[in-house]
Amino acid sequence: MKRRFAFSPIPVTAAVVAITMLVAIACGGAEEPETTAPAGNQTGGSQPVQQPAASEPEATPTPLPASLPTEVVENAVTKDAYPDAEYGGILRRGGYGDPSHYDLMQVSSVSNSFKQMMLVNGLLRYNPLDAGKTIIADLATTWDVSDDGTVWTFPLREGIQFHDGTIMTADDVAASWSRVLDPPAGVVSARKGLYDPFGPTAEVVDPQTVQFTFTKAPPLNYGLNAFALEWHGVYPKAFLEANSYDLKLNGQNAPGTGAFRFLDHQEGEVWKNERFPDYWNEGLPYLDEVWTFPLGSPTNRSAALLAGNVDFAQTVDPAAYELMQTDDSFKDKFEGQPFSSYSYFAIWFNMDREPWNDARVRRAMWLAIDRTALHEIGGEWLFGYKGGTGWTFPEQAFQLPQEDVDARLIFDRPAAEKEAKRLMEEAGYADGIQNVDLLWRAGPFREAAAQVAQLEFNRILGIESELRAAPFAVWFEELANRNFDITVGAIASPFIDPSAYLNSWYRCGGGENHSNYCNAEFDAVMDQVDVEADPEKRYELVQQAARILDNDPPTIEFWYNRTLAAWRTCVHGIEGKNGALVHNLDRMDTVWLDAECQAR
Amino acid sequence: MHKYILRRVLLAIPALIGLTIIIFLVMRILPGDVLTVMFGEEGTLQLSEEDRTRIIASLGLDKPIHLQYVDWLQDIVTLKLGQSFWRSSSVMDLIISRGPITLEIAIVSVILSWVVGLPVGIVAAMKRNSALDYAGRFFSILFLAIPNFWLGTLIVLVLVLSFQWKAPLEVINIWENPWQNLQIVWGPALVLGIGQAAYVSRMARSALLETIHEDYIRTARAKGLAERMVIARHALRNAIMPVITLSGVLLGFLIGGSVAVEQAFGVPGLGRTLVFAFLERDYVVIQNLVLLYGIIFVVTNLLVDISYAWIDPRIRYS
Repeated sequence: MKRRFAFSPIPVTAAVVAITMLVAIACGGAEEPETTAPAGNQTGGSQPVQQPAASEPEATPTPLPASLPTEVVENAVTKDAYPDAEYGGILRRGGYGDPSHYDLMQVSSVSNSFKQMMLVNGLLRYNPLDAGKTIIADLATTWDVSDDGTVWTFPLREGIQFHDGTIMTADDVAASWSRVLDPPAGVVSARKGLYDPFGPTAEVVDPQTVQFTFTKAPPLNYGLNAFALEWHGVYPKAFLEANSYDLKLNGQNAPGTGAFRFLDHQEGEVWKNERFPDYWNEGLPYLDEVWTFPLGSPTNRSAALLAGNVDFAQTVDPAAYELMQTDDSFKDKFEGQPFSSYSYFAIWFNMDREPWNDARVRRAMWLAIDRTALHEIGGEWLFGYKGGTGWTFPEQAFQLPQEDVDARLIFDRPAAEKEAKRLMEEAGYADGIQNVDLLWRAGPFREAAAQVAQLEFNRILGIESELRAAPFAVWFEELANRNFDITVGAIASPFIDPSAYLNSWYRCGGGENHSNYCNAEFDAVMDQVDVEADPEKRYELVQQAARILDNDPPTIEFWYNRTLAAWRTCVHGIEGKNGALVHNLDRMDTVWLDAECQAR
Repeated sequence: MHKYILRRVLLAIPALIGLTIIIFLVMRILPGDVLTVMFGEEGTLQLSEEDRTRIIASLGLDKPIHLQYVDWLQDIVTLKLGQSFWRSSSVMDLIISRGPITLEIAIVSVILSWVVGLPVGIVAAMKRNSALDYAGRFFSILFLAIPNFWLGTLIVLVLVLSFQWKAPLEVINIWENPWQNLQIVWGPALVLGIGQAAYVSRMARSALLETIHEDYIRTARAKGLAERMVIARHALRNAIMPVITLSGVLLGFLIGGSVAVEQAFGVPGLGRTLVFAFLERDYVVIQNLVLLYGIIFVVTNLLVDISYAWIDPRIRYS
């Protein structure tokens, strides 16, 4: 018997099915690339006044800029910071996916920061020993600010070596900062917008001194934060020139001055950094090597930590974190802390369209959202601050008084709903609004938040909306094209100073003012916030700005995020309490392992 | 036979060209700003129009679409396969570094599906409507219904929470350390293999049920052959054809489609690479990996067809 086989359609059919599935994955956003710092957990309850969960550290209020130094701390981070520290060992960390490219300055992703920030130093840094509450000298020995605040001078430490053995000079610092402030064509300085309003230029005074001159003086807290940003490391001028000031391709090999230097990167498998033996801060770091495994999801990172495959994991799963805090099998083996992650979740309005340009409608929607319920739902995936809607970051400098935050968060629901309805009626929308396009940036919590918003707006205000999902890359494209009515998403601030984020998010024309909000009164107050030298007065102004936003809300923000980090008890030197910033976890120069971890 | 193979290969070429056109066009239609992925939200806001134009040009995305397509075809013909948008590695590097572990998982899971699925299918067919048959059918339907990523996550959690054990994170090839390699491979292979075993057992059962009622089986029994010989030599040999066809298709899916399981177990294989490439809009990587999967499907199906002639001597190709 002969059987003839004709061309089979199976391969093409199967391939088309596979493509369709993959396109669906791409559109659905199976796992979004992480920007800045994602995820943590929230232990909210449904009671009117929420009590801190047992595992949560008590917040230490820091209404005024704690980072303002009363005196220059020359070198708080030394080998003597931990007298019992043991040298040696390999710290294995569960981290995020591979970076898209290798230039820290051109990106704002934890995929880069988690592996690369330990390779560089800045002029200043957040003090890891006090959870970043003070700013201390790093490559600079000190800083000097002129009386009018327009000239900042940084004398540099002598004899600092790059990883290639060359000695750092002011030329290198000026070259590195020139690409931040005025990048050449084709190079993107991701945080340039923070500096532009103040018109800075960098110049070399002598081989050991670099000076920045501003056309408008930044407030001291703002300026110190701007120079402490971990994204702006110093590299040899010659290396920068050889790479046309663009480190996207070769950034992992760029010689920094950090406590660790790059050792190896196997894409998708592991990134290894090793101790830099000629690090300027003698005796540091304690560790021999730091290995980071790109474990793409919180579940994977948590599992690897619980199983002992890694010693430390960042952005762990909230349920696993809870387990580490409470379960008898684990609680003696692991420690953990939530770190402030600079990011917040909100609902933006497209104020280019009616009726979103009507303050009454926005205020009504702001009142209608049940934030307590959202906090309860968000706790499934994230770890946040219970004090959303405060307009300023919790536990950080210039945070609003807690009672003000509570008043915004926990109001009388029936009264709020009644007032919301009254405002809608006054605005001419007593019968609600139809055919609203509710875009949401893909992600499990954001999906749930979008659903809650859809239901609540409909139930209370008669706003009927259609949900539309957009993965990370598409969401920003839709925002840029103004193709939405309202949208649920999340954004982050590069550092925690009101002038940085309030201007970017709410000032007319602000870089991430996705609502396209313009309020002349708010802008006028921010003009004063941006130049006020007296912290007390500046704090008053920030509260004044917040009150304006209360009555004319540019967004409905409902979640300030925290990142959960956890580690084995044999890992030491991580200070995470009191609102420590997540990038405190990136330098690793004060971390050490005891014998148990070293013996693995 | 040689002519048949040649004809199949020649016929596969237009199919693969069609595939390249589909995936190429799909990638251009998909929404999403490549630059947002590259520079993040803050960085993208800093991009001037000139920067944007320059970067798009450096990625080769400013050319007319037909020229981009021709460039890609040239890369394929020269086996360069092109360069990832974001990373220093070429697509060929990615395939070489990530491919072996995915291939290994796929092969082990297919073997497992046969080892488990075939006996279950045979027993179910031979003991039709017995308790064993019902049990086999129950479990095969159960494992068809359970999503493999869920089962994978469950296995990971049970091992971690009960035994504080998880497979090593570093990828170790089988020729470097077989034992450690097995620790990485067994989990995903088990999850995928059980799912495939459900298909195999159902297919084997129905094919055997058809075959055992054929005249030649009755003849074999009438000759006095032992039942075991009847099944092994006569019934199974004929019933196995659709199972082989199915396994060939499943192998193709496994090589390209173990995305969710790789993710659950944290195995850095090709599936995970493809997902990340989609999220990063890394067109070059996506196009080439999809083409690779297309080639794998063509080759596995060709091998399946050729294997028919080996199993059933009555089959001749011309």
